[in-house]
Amino acid sequence: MSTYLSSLAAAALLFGLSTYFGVFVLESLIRRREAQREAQVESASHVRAQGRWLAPTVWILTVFWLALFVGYFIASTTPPNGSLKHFNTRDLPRPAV
Amino acid sequence: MFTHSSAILRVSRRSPSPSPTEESPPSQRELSCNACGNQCRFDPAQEALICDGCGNAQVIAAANQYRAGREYPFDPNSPETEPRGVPPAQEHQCSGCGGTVLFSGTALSERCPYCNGPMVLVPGRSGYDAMALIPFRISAEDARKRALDWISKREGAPNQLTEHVARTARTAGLYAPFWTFDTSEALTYMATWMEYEHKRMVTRSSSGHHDVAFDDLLVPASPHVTPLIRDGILHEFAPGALRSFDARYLAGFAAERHHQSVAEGFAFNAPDKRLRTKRKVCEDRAFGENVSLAVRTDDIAARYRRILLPVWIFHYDHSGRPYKVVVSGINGQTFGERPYSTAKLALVSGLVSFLVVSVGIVLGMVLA
Ligand SMILES: [Zn+2]
Ligand SMILES: [Zn+2]
Repeated sequence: MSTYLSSLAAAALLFGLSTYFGVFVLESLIRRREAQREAQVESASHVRAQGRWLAPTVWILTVFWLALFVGYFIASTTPPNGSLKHFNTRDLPRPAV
Repeated sequence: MFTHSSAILRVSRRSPSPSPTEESPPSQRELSCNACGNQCRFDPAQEALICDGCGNAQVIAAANQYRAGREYPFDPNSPETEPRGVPPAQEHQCSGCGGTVLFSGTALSERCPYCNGPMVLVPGRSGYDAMALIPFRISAEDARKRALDWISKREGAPNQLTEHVARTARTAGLYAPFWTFDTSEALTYMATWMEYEHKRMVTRSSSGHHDVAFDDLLVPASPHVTPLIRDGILHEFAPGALRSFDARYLAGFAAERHHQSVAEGFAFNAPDKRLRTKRKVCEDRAFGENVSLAVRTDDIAARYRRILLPVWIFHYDHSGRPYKVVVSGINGQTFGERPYSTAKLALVSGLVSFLVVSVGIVLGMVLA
């Protein structure tokens, strides 16, 4: 039961953090796109439009890998009969003494 | 410093008389209506001085244009002889950003065109007269339409932003001070980069001499002229449109006078110019993106021109923060600052996150 809850919490936390950081990523993406389309971004002092896909790519990939890990964790802590409710650490085979 | 004499000679021959002549600053009499004596304003559509009192229009005859195309040589090793002058009227100084501007004729607003701060009258500060300018061609109404159109096309902007800006924005028409620099430089460069060779990284380098020239490089002549103005809207600046300085073009607008000496102007724009120079060397020598380049100027020949360029600046506030939209007075090119709607961005971000997280979790479970 507790593993089930903690994997649920991990998924929710991941979703929340991703949404939070995504706002900044999207804002900088729009800003760079506007600068690249409409202004001359040559000067040293101006916002650099080069590499505007870097931040979104890093964001998506990081979230994807973390989600992959969470999914793996959920699946590997689920007993073969599939029912999470009856899963208990007491059911695990005891190590030979 | 001057070892590359051919460049100097070439430059000097093109511009034989080195001392800029003094230009008469705007006199109030020159700007008053010849029918009723009221103050006039320059109207971009009619290219004339218009009297709002009686409707009289005096067309500004483009007389002697020789000064518009003229450039002056600059020798960093000899003292500058250009005369400084005090403006005939009091100037307005901003209590916010410290910028000083001159309002002539009937000005639209007496707030700071740069930051919208309150201004106080101060005695005219000694400065330099501009040699040429491009008069406003875009009217205030046209500029306003372009600014609102720009705002309305923003992605992820708060709801009703256009209506809010239309209701609250304050407009300022400004002649902003700029330099045009022609330079021809002899450089020594040293380029270093990393390369794979037989499965290991090796450092490679190359060095040599290179000549770099700039023609009519447009750079700001005041710290108040932000990159928003130059890089945002004036990158298509065509020096052919310059006219000899005539104070009547300033009527009804704010203008910042030139205060930098030529040496100060060069120093002020040095980081920007270094970046452009390096980019040019990289392009000419076909260096890749990962090359680190050091350049040394062995010799420079330069010519300059002090000019004023017309800019419409719109100030508006959103959630207690000030924003600016700038419109070129030459061709209407528009660029600016704008707020973002956190709710809209969060919605998109949430959707993307939900998709990525669920696909990741499902895939992770399948792989387990
Ligand atoms: Zn009149
Ligand atoms: Zn100000």
